[in-house]
Amino acid sequence: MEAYYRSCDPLQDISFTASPCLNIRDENINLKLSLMLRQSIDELYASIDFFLNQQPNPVAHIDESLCLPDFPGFSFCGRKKGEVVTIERSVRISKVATGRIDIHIVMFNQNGFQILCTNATVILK
Amino acid sequence: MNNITLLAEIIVNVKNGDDWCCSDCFLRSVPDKLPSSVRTLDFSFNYLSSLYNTTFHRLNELVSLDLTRCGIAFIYDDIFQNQQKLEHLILTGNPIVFIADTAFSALINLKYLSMVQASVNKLTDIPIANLNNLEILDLSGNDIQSLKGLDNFYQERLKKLRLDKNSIEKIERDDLRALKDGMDISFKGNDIVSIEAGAFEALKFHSLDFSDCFNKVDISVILTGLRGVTTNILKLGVYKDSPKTFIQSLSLQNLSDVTVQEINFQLQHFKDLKTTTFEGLTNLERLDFTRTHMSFLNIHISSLIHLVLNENNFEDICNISMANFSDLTHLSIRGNLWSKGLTLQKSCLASLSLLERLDLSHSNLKTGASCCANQLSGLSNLKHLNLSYNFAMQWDPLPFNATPQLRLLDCSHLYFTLNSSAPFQNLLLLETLNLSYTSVDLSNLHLFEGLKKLRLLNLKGNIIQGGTVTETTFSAHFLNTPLLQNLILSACGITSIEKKAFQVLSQLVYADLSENELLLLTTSAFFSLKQIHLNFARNTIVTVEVRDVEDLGENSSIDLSHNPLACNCTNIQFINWVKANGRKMKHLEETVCAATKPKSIDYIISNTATHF
Repeated sequence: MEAYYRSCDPLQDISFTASPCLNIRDENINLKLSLMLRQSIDELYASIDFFLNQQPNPVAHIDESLCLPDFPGFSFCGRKKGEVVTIERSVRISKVATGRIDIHIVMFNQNGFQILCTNATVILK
Repeated sequence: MNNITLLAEIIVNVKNGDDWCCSDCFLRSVPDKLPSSVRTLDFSFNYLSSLYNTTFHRLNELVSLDLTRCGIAFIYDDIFQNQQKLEHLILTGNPIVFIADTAFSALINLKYLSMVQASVNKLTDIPIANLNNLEILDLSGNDIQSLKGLDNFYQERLKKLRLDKNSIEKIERDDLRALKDGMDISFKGNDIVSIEAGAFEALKFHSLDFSDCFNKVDISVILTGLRGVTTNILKLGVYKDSPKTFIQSLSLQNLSDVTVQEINFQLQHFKDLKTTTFEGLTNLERLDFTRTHMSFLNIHISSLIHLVLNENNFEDICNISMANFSDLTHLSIRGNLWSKGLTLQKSCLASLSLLERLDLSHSNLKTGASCCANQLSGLSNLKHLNLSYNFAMQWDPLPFNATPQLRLLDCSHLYFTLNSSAPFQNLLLLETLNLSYTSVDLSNLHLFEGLKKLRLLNLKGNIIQGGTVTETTFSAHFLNTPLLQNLILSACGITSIEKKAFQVLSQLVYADLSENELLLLTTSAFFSLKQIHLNFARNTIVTVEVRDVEDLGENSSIDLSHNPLACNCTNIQFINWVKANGRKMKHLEETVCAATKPKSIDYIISNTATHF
């Protein structure tokens, strides 16, 4: 398996780590994404597109409200400009899955300001 | 001065008189070009390794200073000796190694201090002594392990103290004794291990946040420690990125020793809630159970007036024992997650005779053969009803017969089938009606009958047959709504508007006709242009007759952005009018010429001689 990512935000880079090695299948892999905020995230909205095998149209699209004024769903909701936010997730990738998945993620805050933009590619061999 | 600083000096920009922003400009010192009169300075994301008493020496008018992420490690004596007016200081994200005891001694007017993620280890390291006017202190994201030194925070005006995401494990009685009544304190995200018995006894807060504090102990430990406290708001929830926590009824026993008006339990899992679990909470008015994984609820809280049950797994609203909440005025069951839909049967809500606001949006409501007279029966005081984003429903002839007090009705993205021509005719008090994206049949001339007090009507996204807003149809509609002030007809596929279509609306102050296919601007359709905001953005208007805009009053405006306006002789009179009346044009910078994109019309105006 190979994974690549690149920030598509002119101001904002992100850091990403996977542990243990991405080549391990059928076991939990901890993914960690960190970014520094240029504006506060009292509200945070994510939009994610998944593209399979370089097809032009996304096979799946997710719009999710991560932080709402009356429902701060994640512990990082409400963080301020300059704070570092770390999002950790555990995933398990099946041995049988193959192909290339391109993922485009954008996130905006309460002012419509882009908090994160990233393109990632996962190639499962 | 090095090249980087020189470049930065050029890109430093004045925002608003004495408000200056030089964020992210690679600066290593305060630029000489910055006037001494600066009041607000955003200096974030630059580089200042140390702060001396000379660093801001010249800027003696400073009221607000943002030093977020400036790499500040050393803060020496009396750095703000000339900044006695400073009220707002942000030091977020600096790797502070040393702060002198007298660093902030001149800041007698400071109201807000942020030292978030600033490598603070001890409360005693913060030189708070002279900050007599401090109202808000944010110390989130540090490595503070103990509350020793909190008794120095006796500031008379301190209202809010944030200690989120530190390493505080113990809270002891002596730590809290200096706190004054009515404060907001947040311990969110600390791994609390123990709270000394009686630590909070007799203390009074506005809000106490213990959310995400349950990694090392059961909630009962926190609640035992809170015995005897009085607080308006108590947060005991967790987050989607927190470890799962399960609460047993027994663990909530000590809640009855807490005097609280509002509790938030978001994202918790309750194992065995009993009718009596919350009975001791005689003052509880608001309870938030957002996404608490519930499929039924049978608890008794007689004082409750506000109940939030959003994002749960109810199959049927009758699975919530409403009879136990007879004083409820607000109920929200938004975004229910049960995939097969949320059944709303007859009379499930009938005991809520005092209910004023009901939100059932985004919940895949299943209302049976007809809705909603029976389903809403008993809600005679209901004023706000949100049914938006739900499954299709078949309406009764008078669907809101049981709720004649309604002021606001939101049916956006709701597909309903009418069983009468005038479904709203009993809603004599309705002021706001949202029927956007409902595919409602606007050729039905009786649709708005009875809505004599309607102020706002949203019809966005409903396609008008034939594309024409006809005088006969819409005058007939609007004769029913003589007090209408806001009308939204955007994205309705409108290609033309007949001359007197909106003439009967003498109170209209805002008309949104954006995202249509209008070729012509027709302002004669309106009763008056003296005080009105017209939104014609995102149409296909090429030429604007000046007579259509010249009667716009001093307090009126028009938005023609994103139209393919011609910037040539055909529009010369209009362009001249814009020259003299630019302030009446909304989004002028996005009002571009079709032929000369991306030049905006104000660019054309300033270069008229070249083009005409």
